[in-house]
Amino acid sequence: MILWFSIAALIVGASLFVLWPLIRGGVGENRLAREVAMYEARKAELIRQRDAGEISTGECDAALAEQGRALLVLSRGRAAAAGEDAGKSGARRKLAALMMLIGVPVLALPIYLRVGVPSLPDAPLASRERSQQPFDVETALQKIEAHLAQNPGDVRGFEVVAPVYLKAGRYADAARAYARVIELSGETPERLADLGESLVADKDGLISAEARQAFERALKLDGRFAKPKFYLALAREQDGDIAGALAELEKIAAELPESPAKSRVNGEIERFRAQNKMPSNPAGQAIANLPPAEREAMIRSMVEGLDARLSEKGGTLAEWRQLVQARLVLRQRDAAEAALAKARAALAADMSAVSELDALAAAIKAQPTP
Amino acid sequence: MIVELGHFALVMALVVALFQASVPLWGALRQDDVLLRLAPRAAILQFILVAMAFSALTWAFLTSDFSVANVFQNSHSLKPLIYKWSGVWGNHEGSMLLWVLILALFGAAVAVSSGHLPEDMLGVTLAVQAMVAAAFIAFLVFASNPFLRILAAPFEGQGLNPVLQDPGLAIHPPLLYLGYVGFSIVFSFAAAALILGRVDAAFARMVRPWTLAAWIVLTLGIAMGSYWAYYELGWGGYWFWDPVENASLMPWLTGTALLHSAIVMEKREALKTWTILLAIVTFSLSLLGTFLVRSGVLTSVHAFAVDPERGLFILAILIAFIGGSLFLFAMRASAMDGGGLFAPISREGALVFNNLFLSVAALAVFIGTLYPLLLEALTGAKISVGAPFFNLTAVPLMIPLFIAIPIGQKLAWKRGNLAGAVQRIWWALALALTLTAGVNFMIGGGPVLALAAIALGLYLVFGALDELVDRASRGGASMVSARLRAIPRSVYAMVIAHAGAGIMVLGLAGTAFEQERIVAVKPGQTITLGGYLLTFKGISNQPGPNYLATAARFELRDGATLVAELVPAKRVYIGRQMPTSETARYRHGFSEVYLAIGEVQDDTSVDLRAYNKPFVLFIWLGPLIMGIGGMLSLSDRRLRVGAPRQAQRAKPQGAAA
Repeated sequence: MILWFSIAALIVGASLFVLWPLIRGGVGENRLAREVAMYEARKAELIRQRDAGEISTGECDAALAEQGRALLVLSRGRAAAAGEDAGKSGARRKLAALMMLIGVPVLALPIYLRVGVPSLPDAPLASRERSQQPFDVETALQKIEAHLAQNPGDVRGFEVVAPVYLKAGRYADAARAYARVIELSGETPERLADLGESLVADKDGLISAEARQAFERALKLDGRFAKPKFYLALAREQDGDIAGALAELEKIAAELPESPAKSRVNGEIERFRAQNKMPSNPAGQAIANLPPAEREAMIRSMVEGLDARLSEKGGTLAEWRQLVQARLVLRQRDAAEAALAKARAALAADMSAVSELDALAAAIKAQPTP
Repeated sequence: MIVELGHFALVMALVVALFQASVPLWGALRQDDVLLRLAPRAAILQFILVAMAFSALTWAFLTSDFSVANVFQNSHSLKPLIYKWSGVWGNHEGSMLLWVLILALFGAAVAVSSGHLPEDMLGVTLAVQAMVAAAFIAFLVFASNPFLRILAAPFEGQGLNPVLQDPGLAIHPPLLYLGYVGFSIVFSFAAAALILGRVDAAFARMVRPWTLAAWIVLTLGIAMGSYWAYYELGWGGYWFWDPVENASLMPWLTGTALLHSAIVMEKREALKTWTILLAIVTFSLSLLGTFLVRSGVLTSVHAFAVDPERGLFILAILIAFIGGSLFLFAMRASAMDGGGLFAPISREGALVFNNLFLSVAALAVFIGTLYPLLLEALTGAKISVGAPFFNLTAVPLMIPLFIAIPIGQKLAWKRGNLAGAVQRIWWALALALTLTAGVNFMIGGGPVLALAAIALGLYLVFGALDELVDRASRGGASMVSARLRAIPRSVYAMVIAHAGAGIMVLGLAGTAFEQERIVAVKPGQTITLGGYLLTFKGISNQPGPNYLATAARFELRDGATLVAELVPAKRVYIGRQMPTSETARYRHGFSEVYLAIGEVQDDTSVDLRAYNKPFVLFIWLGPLIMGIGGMLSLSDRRLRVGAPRQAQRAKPQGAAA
């Protein structure tokens, strides 16, 4: 409301200011008088120059003659232009006043309403309630980082920044921040578990010795803490102890109340059950210990090898099924279907095999596309 | 509320500009002086409105109001206060708002200070000024609005451009804009003179102070930008012939020409059409500079082609004003009477010579700046026209100009005596050559061109001073001080400005004698630099308010005495991860030792660029002195009337005015 009062005041004040000469009225000036005044001024300057000895008398006289001729030419032009209409001036001035009084608001307001947001108040930073506003992670981080660079002993700062890093996907920074918090103010189960979690995330899910150590220390401090237990169960899986890992996960799930954490654990259990029998031989273990990118490349090349061998030499139903499932695990749905088709062609003589393959095909179709 | 009121004020300024652009013209057409009297008031109002808008934006920056998109993009709550403030014009929208503010400021200044002008001239001038303002405010409101809001305001801004965190850059753009935009009022005067068909000495008298004011700030602005590049960019260069610099140099060259031709017009009523054309061309080049800098066409012609809205808007403004004014010029120029006649060898002739060379130099810069852009737009080929082109075109054009300055000063109005003039300044040339020979002997020889430049610089300084020597010595020894006091300030102004040009030439000549060392140094290592010994003491880290600095400490010794401790540094700004270089300099006399560091290796050794630059400060001192000369001339409000030298019966002691 104050805005609109201000705008109204501005328009009225501005109009009065600009239109004052119309309100006051008046007559036109005598233009020739200015020219004469200019001539007199120049004449005085020339005489000053002559008296100061800067120019000679002859030069001064020549210059004065020039000025006089110029004035004569001007006065002839002015005389011709003078004495023209003054009669329509009243209507003209009224129109000019209307342009200012009405034209300005009528043009300015719609333009302003199109580009402006009159209802939006100012928002100077100092007067804003932080908690009620959406949080701008990126810029907040910058600010905290600047603060921490100068105050490397500020525990609270690192406590605040660590989960933000984790959410922002900067896992290594998160791990560093948690490690700093522990260094500055000691171990707690939560801090250790969070540190471990960051380390795991940084390694794309692989549980390193460092992370495992963190989880184990957390569990030592609080034997019932689910998070370290969960990750240690996953660590067992990565060590090749699938059955043990599964049993551990089921135990954790049973102890947890309904929560996002519980559904996460259940999700892992389902993955375990769905996702085959993990390789339990030493070769498989070796593969499992590889860095993720290499591991995947290794699995892919193995699957390609299997595919090539089966396509060329044929194989058993079990081998074909292994190929199809491997393709599915690798999210190569098209390749899985192609493998199915090839298996059918290869095993066409075996009726029971074909019906098994049909069932597998139906199961694939029922799955949602990843 | 403040932000929105500022936004409304800007929109209202647009409408008021339309009013100011039309009603006074109508008044002039109908010879209605009362309508013409509305123009100065509208101009003052327009300034108040734009100033309100600018203040509102400034307030938003100072209080970190991130609900304003422009503040969010270009500011940061951690910035030091002065850089929050300078951030207002450190971005596209804000700098265009500043542009418009200065435009309105000049309009209002003319309105307030020009009560002595004929009402029709004042009214029409302000109407033309308002046309320019309307075009640029429309550009702001519709294509570059600084007041756009964010409904859910973020809590932190994104703008922490470390390169812009420098006091030099905080005041450089406003200064440059004052110059650029200052020529707008000269343009408006010229257009008004064409519209009213009145181009006379009175016109020149009105225009000259404004031309001079714009020229002074542009001179200082360019010098300051050059000085900033020298100490901030870390390469010790002072002029790079890059298009942004050229964009400011072109109006300066034609503006300088305009300044001189306006003198001829005021004193002798000659060169009328030429003066008007120069006024148009100078502001056109200012507009062109604005287009080059603000459209993004310089960063990449292709980027411009992809998102051309802003560029096309400015281009349309450019074409409308340049085309419109040249059309008006073509229609009306022939109607102007020729004015005073003069012989080729005369003061007027010398000033025409000056104008010719300045204009051709401006043309050379124009071609060198625009040709690569045009070529890229047409064929996609990227070429770069660098220093070699300009050094072969614009720079040689300056040499005959500089040689002619002291001679031109000695010629009489209307018809002069070249041999006589040369005879009177021979001592300046002789003294300059003698001193140069002395310098050559002292330093044990140097490049011939550099020595020639030293001689030219000295000749310019002595040639300028000759005017004072000549005038003071006319009445005998006893009269010297009285004579010096009697010399008008405008003459002192000319002497100082021309001597400033000479000092700048000396500074440029000095660059040929600089010593340069580019080495990787280890702690404790000592290198020689000119007559100095430079010892590297080590590296330390120094946190700043929003950056981390790696500083290298050096001790500079002259023989055994320690003269300075120099600490060049590299800063990395948090959040931008952008390194900037902080140079360290030691001034001795007008020369400087200049250190900048590059990469730090193995945490101990550092890449060092060290220079000893003799008389380098003359490069900027010269323009500063030129500016002071301009200010002195501005302060001299006497009428300028030049008395012609008579054809016959010329008295032998008849001197130049």
